[in-house]
Amino acid sequence: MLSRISLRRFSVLGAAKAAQKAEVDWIASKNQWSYFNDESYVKRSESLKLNKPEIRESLLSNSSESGPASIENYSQRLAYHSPVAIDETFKMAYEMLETDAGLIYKNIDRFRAKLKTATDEKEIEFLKKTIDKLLVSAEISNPEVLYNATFNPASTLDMSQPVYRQLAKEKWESYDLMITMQRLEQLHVIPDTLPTLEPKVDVKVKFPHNLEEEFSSWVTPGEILPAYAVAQPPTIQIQEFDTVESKQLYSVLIVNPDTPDLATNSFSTTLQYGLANVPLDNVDNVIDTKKLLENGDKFTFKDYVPLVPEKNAQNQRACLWVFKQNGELSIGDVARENFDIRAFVETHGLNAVGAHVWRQHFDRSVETVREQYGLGKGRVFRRVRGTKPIIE
Amino acid sequence: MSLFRLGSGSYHPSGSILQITALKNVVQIRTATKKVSGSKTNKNDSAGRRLGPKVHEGNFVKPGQIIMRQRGSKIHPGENVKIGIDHTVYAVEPGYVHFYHDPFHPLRKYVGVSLKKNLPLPTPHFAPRVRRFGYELIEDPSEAVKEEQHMSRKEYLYQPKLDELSKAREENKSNLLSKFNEFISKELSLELGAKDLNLTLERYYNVHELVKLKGMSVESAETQTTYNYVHSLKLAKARGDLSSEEFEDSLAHYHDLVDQLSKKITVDATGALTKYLSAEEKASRKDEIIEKLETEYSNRVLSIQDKIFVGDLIATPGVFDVAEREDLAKKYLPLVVPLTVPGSVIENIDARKPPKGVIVQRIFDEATRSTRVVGRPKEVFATQ
Repeated sequence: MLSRISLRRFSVLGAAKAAQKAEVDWIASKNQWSYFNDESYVKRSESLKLNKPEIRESLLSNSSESGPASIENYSQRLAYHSPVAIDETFKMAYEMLETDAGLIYKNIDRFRAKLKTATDEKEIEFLKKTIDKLLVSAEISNPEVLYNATFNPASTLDMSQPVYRQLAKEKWESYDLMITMQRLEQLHVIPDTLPTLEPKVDVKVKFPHNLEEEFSSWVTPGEILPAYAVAQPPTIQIQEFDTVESKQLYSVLIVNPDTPDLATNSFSTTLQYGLANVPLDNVDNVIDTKKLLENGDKFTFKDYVPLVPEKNAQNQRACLWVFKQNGELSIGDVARENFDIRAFVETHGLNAVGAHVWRQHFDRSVETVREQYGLGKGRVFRRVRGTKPIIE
Repeated sequence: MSLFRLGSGSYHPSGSILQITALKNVVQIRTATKKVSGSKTNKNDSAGRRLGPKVHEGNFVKPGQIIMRQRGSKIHPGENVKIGIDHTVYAVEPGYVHFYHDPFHPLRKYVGVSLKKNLPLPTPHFAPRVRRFGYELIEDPSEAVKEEQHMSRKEYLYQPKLDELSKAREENKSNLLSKFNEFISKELSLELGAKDLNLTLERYYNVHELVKLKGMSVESAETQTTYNYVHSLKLAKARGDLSSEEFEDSLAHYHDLVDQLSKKITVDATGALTKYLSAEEKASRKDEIIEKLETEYSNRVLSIQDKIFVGDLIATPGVFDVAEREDLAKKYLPLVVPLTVPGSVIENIDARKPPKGVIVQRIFDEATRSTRVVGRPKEVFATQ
């Protein structure tokens, strides 16, 4: 028999456990991942839902004779047989994960309440970061979210959701980032233009005016392109992975550090394109033709002039740098020739967050592009490199 | 060893004997001690290989000039310098020789060529490289033209292929333009001046080509085409071909033309020119077609004529976009009609002698968990 005291202690402990269990049960009864834009519990975006209704239904309901809807081919679908007891196992796992997500959302609620009353700037930043992290962990095991991130093109994902940004970031870091950094280092974009780069954003570039498929898709960093393929300003996508609340201002520079400088028998840097004060955020993340057509004059402080390498002047690099601005910039008249990118970055307090590079050399379309831009006829250099030293 | 040993009478240094006679005279006697063959040791010496530095700190070198002969890499090649098969270090750029240490390899000695006289090596890690251009300008105009026209062998061999491609593109373009012209003048009966007609045709040719490329929507293709024209006008203005007023006029005229055209013509998902449909019209046409497909052409085996008709319905110009067309085709024109569709399965057939137009299929029955043989009408398969 238990003594009175021990009985009471037991009942107190039991009450705490029971309360905790009741909370878990209550959360479990809420079907966390089934709420969308609903004020009653937590507000979740509709974009966290699997975007194809028939596949969503077949994913969340028991397996049927007609096979999973995610297999498109009819005969393959018929031939698919689910593993033994998949329905029970899936349901149990789903419920457990969903309950965990519910507890995390409960935490998020607490942090949000704290955020409302917080006044200290550091604390606010910390709370916001924590909430973002929790929002990722609440959804990172949601099968619907994972399906969307795995099987749908990245351009269709809702980048306002921290979880999609996290998944996109992981994908970027596993391939595109490595390619970009490799090309920037091997082609000496670093340190010929700026000392180094700590990449924060995914920068993609394409030239949408091209009618050939070969040149109309995203450019792989380091690719060699003909002059006609780059004859018009590029579309630049700047994907930010951290939360951008209101619009963040960006600057973009394209420089050519390989312009022949015959006076010194060396090279000088030319500014080919300059954009500043471009407002972007997580979702609206592209400087495309539409934006250039509407507000191009507002952003552009130096009009685009493509690289037009002269005969035998070897490969030239078009180095594209993306900077985050601390505030609005007023950039006066900048000379295109003998551009000092390091001084420019210093004076305007710019913070390099991403870069891209493509290369060009003389080809048969250079002359036409020169004519279009009124650059006059190009010089011709000897095919064999001479031995004259640099002129100091 | 002393040379003379007094009192002993004789002494033998190598090959000779010193004898002391009674008169105390020293007489040398030579005995036969000639070595017939040489010694086997210490014979492997060669002449000096003249190793060592050939130029010194601060000296000017030309490309290819040898800086150092060595056995092994006593000195490593640094900036603007290379190392040969026998570890000979030589310059690849003209400049001034510097021997230095590199903080990334503190135990090595390096030699490099600095392109400027008073520029120390190594170049700081984050500083831009100092580079020499080295290519000389061709001053003679005729020689310059000749050099500019010079092609590599690869480029030269590609010329016929490139000509063929551009010819094909031109032909395709002229065919399309004549088709578009016919559509605009006959079906829409638009009255356009020669210049406007040309602008319109060029515009829709560009939109058509962009839409045909994967992933470009009609709206963005139109925006891009407008941008192309505006950009070309801006360039003409910058070149001085157009004055500011002319530029403004042309721009306004083009925008007017685009506004006027956008209410009459559009390009559909496949890039074909069609009549413009407003959003409501489009939606109602979509509903109408889908209802017709749903009521008349779903859940039954379609004949070949039906299939053609359904295909035409889905491809009705200007109604569905590419993704919608694909979805509809998947739904109403499946590669194989599902077994659940009435009339798509013929039971109890003789598998050896199937009736005409029936294809024998062995299927797995989930309910009984066994296979059985059924016949399926030819029309069930899209490829038959």
